[in-house]
Amino acid sequence: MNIAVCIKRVPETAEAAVNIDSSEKHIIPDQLVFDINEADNYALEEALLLREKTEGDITLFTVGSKESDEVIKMGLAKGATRGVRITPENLDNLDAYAVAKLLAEQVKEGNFDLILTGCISSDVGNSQVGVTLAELLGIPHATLVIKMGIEDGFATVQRELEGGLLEELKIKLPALFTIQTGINEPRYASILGIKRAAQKELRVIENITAEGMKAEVVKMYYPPVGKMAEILEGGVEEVSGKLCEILKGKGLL
Amino acid sequence: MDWMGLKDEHKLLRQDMKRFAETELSSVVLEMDKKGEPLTSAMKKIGEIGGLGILISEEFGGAGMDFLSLIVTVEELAKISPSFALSVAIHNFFGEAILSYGSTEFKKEYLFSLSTGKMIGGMAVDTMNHPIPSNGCEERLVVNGTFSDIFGFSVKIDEKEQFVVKKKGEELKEETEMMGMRSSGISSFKLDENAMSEDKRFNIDSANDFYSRMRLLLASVACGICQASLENAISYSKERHQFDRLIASFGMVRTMLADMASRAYASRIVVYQASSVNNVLDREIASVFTTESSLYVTDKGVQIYGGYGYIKDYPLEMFFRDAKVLEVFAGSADYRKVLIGKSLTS
Amino acid sequence: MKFAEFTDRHKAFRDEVRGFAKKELLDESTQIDRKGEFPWHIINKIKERGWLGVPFPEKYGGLGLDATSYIILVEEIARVCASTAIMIAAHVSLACQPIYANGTEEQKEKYLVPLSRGEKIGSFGLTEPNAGSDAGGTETTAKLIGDKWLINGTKRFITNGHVADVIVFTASQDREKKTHGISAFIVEKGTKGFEAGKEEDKMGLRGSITSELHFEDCELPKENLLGKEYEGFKVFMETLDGGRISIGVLALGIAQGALDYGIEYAREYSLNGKPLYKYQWVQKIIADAATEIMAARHLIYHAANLKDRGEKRVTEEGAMAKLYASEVSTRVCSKIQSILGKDGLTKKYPLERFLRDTKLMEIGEGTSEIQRLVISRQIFGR
Repeated sequence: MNIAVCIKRVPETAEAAVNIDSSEKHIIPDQLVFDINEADNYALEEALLLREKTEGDITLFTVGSKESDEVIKMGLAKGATRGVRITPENLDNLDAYAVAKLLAEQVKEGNFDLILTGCISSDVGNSQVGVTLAELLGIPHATLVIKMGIEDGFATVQRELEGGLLEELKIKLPALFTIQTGINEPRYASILGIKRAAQKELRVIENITAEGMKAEVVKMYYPPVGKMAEILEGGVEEVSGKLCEILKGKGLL
Repeated sequence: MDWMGLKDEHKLLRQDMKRFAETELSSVVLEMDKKGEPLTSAMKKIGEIGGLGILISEEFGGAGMDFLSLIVTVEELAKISPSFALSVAIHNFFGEAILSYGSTEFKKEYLFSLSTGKMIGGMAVDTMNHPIPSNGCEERLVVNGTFSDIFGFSVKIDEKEQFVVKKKGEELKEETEMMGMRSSGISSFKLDENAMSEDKRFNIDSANDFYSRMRLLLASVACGICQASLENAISYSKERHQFDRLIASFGMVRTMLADMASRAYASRIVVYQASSVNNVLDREIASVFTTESSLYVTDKGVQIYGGYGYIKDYPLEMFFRDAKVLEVFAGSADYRKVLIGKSLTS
Repeated sequence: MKFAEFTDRHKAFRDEVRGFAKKELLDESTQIDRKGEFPWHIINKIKERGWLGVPFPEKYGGLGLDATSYIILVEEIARVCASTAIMIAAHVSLACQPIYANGTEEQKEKYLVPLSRGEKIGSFGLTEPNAGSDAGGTETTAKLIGDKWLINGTKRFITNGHVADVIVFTASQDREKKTHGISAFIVEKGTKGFEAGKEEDKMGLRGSITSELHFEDCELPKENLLGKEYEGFKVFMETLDGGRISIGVLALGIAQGALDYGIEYAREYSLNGKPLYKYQWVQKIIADAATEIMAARHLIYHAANLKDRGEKRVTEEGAMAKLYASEVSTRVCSKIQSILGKDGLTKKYPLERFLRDTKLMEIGEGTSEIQRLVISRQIFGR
């Protein structure tokens, strides 16, 4: 079985201070640490686990700058077969649709039985690339997958719905699934794997221009600092009394 | 700031080890330091991904990577747990010693187990002599002593440097009262006749080369401590308010951070550089500079944390103690400087 | 400038304390660090000698000696056991002293007398989780309601915290007014709403207690105000003038203890068959240490002597003494530790304890950076 995994290099922004450049459309990457998008890492692990059970290749795809090679190479070190990096000239202005389109053009030639992506990217958080890619390829998909099994050309996947409800689907391959975090425990690359990664194939697709953008970033900014907090002072009883009054006043109690 | 000579594999290793350290070490490191216990389950895990056979060639089950790869690995682990990094460094180096000096038969017997972590190796790191009472007996400190299966030390016999390998026995005493590196399983033994019995001995061709590489490994631990102390101090100074301002906005804090960063950057570059060329003096200079720098950087880091730098709730307190141990471990920095000066003038 | 000289009485007192430290404390000090427990048995012996009230008049239960004598006491104890020394320093210069300087006769009768006699142990609650260097940022509040003070807040890093019977502390009556809104108070152990909290697990000084203090709707009688309302800032600034000399001399004592040990060690131990003291690198370390310690000693005793003469506040001199002595001590301890080689790294020898202990001296009662601010303000007139 041949598997494609689409991954993305993203900045770790949870605890870092993110600054925006003068164009007001991009963040300044200098002080940030980059790594594979968290959900993509689970998708990659899911592919590696599947491959341990069935023969086949894992091909990694990414749309990004040259620096994205590092997440591809880490994937290769963990055991993926080859990597493809797509770098269009207008990389800075892509939307989710354009990314999916770039991926589709490459993925469709690979004859893949299964395509995995992360369910969401931690930087822009659209959750669109996976499903759009499935549509462009004309194959079925399932999102937010938390469990997966393959048998006789069919996949059985579990999805988590609101309120703790689970849904189980049976889907004919080829299909695309977007993987939820926590589905497995992503491995570390082995030291030998890291050494071998250098010899693996990494194809670069450049000198192309992405087309079909439907959305454009107008501006990125932090909301103005408002007077949102009121600090109550006094003893415990005094403070809790004041808090009750405020909540009642706003009709919340 | 990064060194130009890093290859992709070194960068990948660094990233892999960063994730390993943050996941496997960070939640337990302070507790284990307090207890003075080794991080044995993490040791097992790093063995599973090949982290205990980095220098050993593939024919003996290792990864056969270069010395810089080990340096980078150790540095990254040391950012979270200097003790654990030291244990990994010494185990790997022990394996390399067997690979370099051991007999074919001995290699076949031990290297597979060592490179996969089935067997843990320890080693005396005090290659440079330490003071002893007049008429006293020499004592050696062994890293990984408490949990290793086999350990080695070097000794001069008939004017020849020899590497002595022993199965762990009762002569190894656990050092429970170390100031730092408390999770490295440090033990000691008296270098008496008993210690020299029932062992395997191998000739070391170029002792200075061998020792300087080990001291450079200690420096890579120090290098990690420098980076981590700097990073911690920077984030703390961007969180802590005093006088209605972030302390990062004060000139005195800024100059301290600049001094720390200069030494942290320089340490890293000098260690990487020294690990990539075959020059004993370069390694000695790098290791003295870096171990002294790590003490400087952690000292300033504690200072920026203030009272919070003095308590065991934050890592700076541990880094400070660990840094001091590194500075003295392989021979006092001041003594080693005398030897460097001697090399420079001979 | 005239340097302070010891009188015969000072020398006699120094010899007495030194003898005590050698006999009662030397062998105990390692054990005190190992156990990390407050050394009650030692404190009791110190108390019996009246040393918990050295610089206070006899009518307040003290020994009636001068500030220099008190500084001598702390140095001699710190040379052997810094944990014990800091307990004494916090008790005398941070708890007794502000009561002596600012208290009413009734407060002195009630608190200073038993403190000086050592019947009670004192402590000083200034630092808070968010008010360290910036003591003006005190968040603990005091409100006068009828004839009672209502106190709420948390103090942190308080030396002698949960062993203290009498605690002098600061709280803000008006946060808007910053430093001018702060007043000083006295609270006794056992007062409802007051409790010592978490004990800190520290790098060094492990025989000294450092805890949090919690005030939760704690009611204090009106007369527990120390000094005037809104003048708490002045109370603690003046307290710290003297407190800094105490911390400075603690550092000096530790450094001297380290040097003494280093000299002895260098005489008795050999490296590669050659006695350590014959190595020039060792001689350099010892010579530098001795020189720096001498310089620190002059600063410390100069400041103490000025305080005794009482002509002016010793803000600048105290800050210089503390800044210099504490940085010297860290340097000296670390360097001498290196002479010992691996013996410097384990508790079997005292050097590693000295380094862990002395590091606090650069932090406690104002970090080195704050001392530099204090000194430069004195020079530039703010």
